Amino acid sequence: MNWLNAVVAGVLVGGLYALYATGLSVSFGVMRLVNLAHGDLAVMAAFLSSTLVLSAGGSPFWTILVLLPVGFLVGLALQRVVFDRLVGVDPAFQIVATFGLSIVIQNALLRVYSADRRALDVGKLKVDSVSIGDLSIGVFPLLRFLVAVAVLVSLSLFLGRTKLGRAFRATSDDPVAARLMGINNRTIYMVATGIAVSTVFLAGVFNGAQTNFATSDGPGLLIFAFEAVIIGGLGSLWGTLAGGIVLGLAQTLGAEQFTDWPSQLFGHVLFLVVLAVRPNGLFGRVEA
Amino acid sequence: MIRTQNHVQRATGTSKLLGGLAALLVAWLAVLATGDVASTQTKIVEMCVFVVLASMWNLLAGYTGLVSIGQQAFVGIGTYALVVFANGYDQDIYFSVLPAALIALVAAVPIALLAFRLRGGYFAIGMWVIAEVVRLLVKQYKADPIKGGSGTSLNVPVSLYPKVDRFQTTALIALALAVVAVSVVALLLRSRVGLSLQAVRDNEAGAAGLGVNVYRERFFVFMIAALFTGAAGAVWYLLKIRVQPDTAFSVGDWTAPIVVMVVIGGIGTVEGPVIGAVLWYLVRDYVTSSDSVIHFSDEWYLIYTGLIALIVALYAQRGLWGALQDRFPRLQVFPIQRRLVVGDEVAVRGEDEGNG
Amino acid sequence: MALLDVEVVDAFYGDFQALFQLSLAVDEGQAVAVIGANGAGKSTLMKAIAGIVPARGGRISFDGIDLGPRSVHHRVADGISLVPEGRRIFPSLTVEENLLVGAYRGRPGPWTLTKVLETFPLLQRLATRSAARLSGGEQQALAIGRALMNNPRLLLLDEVSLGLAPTVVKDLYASLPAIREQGTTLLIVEQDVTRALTAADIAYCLLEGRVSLSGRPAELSRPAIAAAYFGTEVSQ
Repeated sequence: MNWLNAVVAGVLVGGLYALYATGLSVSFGVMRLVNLAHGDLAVMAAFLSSTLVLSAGGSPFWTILVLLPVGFLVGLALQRVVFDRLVGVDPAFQIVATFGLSIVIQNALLRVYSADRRALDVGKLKVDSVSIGDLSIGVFPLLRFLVAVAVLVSLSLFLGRTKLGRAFRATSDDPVAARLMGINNRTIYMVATGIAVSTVFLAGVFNGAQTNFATSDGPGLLIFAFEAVIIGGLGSLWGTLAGGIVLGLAQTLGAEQFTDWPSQLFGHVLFLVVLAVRPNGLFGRVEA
Repeated sequence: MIRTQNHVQRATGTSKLLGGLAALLVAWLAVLATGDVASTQTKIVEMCVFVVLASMWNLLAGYTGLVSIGQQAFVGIGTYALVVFANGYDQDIYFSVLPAALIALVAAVPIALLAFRLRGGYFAIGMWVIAEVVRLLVKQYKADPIKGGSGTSLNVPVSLYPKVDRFQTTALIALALAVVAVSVVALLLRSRVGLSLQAVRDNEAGAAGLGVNVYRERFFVFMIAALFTGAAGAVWYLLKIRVQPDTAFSVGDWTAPIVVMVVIGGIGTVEGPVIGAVLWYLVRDYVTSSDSVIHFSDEWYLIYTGLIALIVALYAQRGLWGALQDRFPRLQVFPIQRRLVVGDEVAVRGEDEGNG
Repeated sequence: MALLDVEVVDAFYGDFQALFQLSLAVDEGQAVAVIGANGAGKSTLMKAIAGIVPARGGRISFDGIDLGPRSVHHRVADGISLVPEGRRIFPSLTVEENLLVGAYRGRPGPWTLTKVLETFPLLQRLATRSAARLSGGEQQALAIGRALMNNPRLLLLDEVSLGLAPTVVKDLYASLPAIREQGTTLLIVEQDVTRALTAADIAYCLLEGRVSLSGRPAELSRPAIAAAYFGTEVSQ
């Protein structure tokens, strides 16, 4: 891989990180809630997709059509049963509860699927690439990136242009004032978690088709999502995309330069540097 | 004219009684530690190490709002500092626990400077990232005495450290460390720092307005926690010998059980984490050993653990000790609460917030 | 039957009891003022009517329906809108978006975006601006306009004049007749006694969570109001 290819690969994987980060960003924006089981939900989606493919055949892509609505419903249920009790409480209990949830999901997956790594097979799409001179772009990473951008564009339009989207932003600004406008905040929270889980399900399937996955991968994915959010700056979807891309670039370029070092280390280091130099993120708004 | 004399009372009859019982328990454990049953000594070490870890995590989460899921960073730093002093510089392994703890303390300074820029849940994950960075860096250091990801063993030649001797000494050190750690937490909370911390916990903006330097108090407590967490990690490996970065810096082996112990016992109380750690350990020991009547596989055991953490955090936030205190308001082992005794009448402050 | 009936209501602000067995009634089309010193319970009363603070004991009914089981958003749908103390506009939304959020429940009625902007002309040229960048007076106009977008039957105004320059307050109060013209009933909480009495048909004075005086403003003497306001007449 040459440098140009590394840059392209970094940008493209950054789209995936942004897709992971979207749900985290939405949950935090609307409810000030950090869900530590976020990454485990992605892994769960990849396993569910592999089960669907094994039992019904075909490509993992059709399972997305099933998993998006399922993810939304899982989100609604999660909100009703767990998160509703965590909104506005001491963050310690949010962390303990979602950490507990993460342990439950991981071990339940381990129980059902064992510790073996699995992969979602997308056939030759996975290896196909387009070449432009020296530059070679993987078709699947490109597709994955475009899907991520499409999700972010739709979400951005939803938040910016629709009535429900306005209600989301109003609730994020001031939940009590939003209720005084007749907005049922519990509905808003349910939809927010529904969106968070369905986007992370989507990310989980795309990740599972790119690399193999195991039940213990969730925390690592959570960390990538978290880094994308913080690097990009809290409270901005486009910042999250930019944060994801910068994170992806740090990983691929770092690994290109120092081949015997783990790529995620470079992402972590970049995150710490951003924290030290620009704690509001590269593209974040300074809180009023 | 009758004058009534007012004074501040701390210890109550109950606390003296319970304190005496706790002292007896420690004495009994000390006797067991000096015995020659290796399995008993192992249990003492494991339990005491987790009492230290849980107390320190609670000091952070329950009193300063710093909920960290990266405390394994300090466990690992303490452990590897022990390895460096003992294997690298041929120092006495027991003595090496002290500089190992100090190294953890020193490492905590830059870590705090970075992580304190994040709040709440983001602080929690930020600490995790920092622990990951340290783990990955240790794995990359392939030279002696660290030996990278494959790990190494603490150098304990039988000629210098006979096994019986090492188990005895380690058990005594672990017990002493637990007693010191819990006492430090109790004394700290009784001190001026403790009062400021309670003010911060009740109302951060208000406390800042009263001149409490919130940042400085948090920083100080974070240092204390790092010191003891590092020491606990080092003591653990005096017994376990075999050291690997993936286990020494594991969130699942260290921070996950710590969090569960603290919430079950009662976050924001001195006694809760101790009870949580002991109880958790006894239950785990029982249900994961294959000859028990109620036996769980590792996965089921962890699923139940996670569920309990979830349920306690959602429905029983005061934990076991908190629930007991709700029923018996005078219950406390460590008299950190101040009671203003006004003549015959006893005014209790902060009863409904627990003995914070 | 009164449009709003507050009957022997107790309410708490945290552990502190703010209202004691308080009763008052507001008829359809009326403008009623609630005056009282700081901490008299005026804001808690407004919050209890809007549903942000639960009323314990007693009963609040709106158009004959008990509001007890109805949550905040249901009450908004019923036609109760509160302009909260401190304005609480949505800073990350534009002025126009703030107004549109006000119409979230889609209640039909005379108030539309155009009509609100006509009533508060100073918002007209600011429509696309971020609400965070408005002045205090502009924010208050926005908060009132936003509540009107719900086409409320009962508009609760909590401390509209707080922290605003007298000329700004005068302009805001000048818009009240236009609101009443549309048949909207007003309940006004105000520390500025003169301002409140001028705008209202009926006035209630609160003292330590209880009604200390009520009546038509014209029939209330200055000394009686002063006594009820400061509690100087309270027997030992």
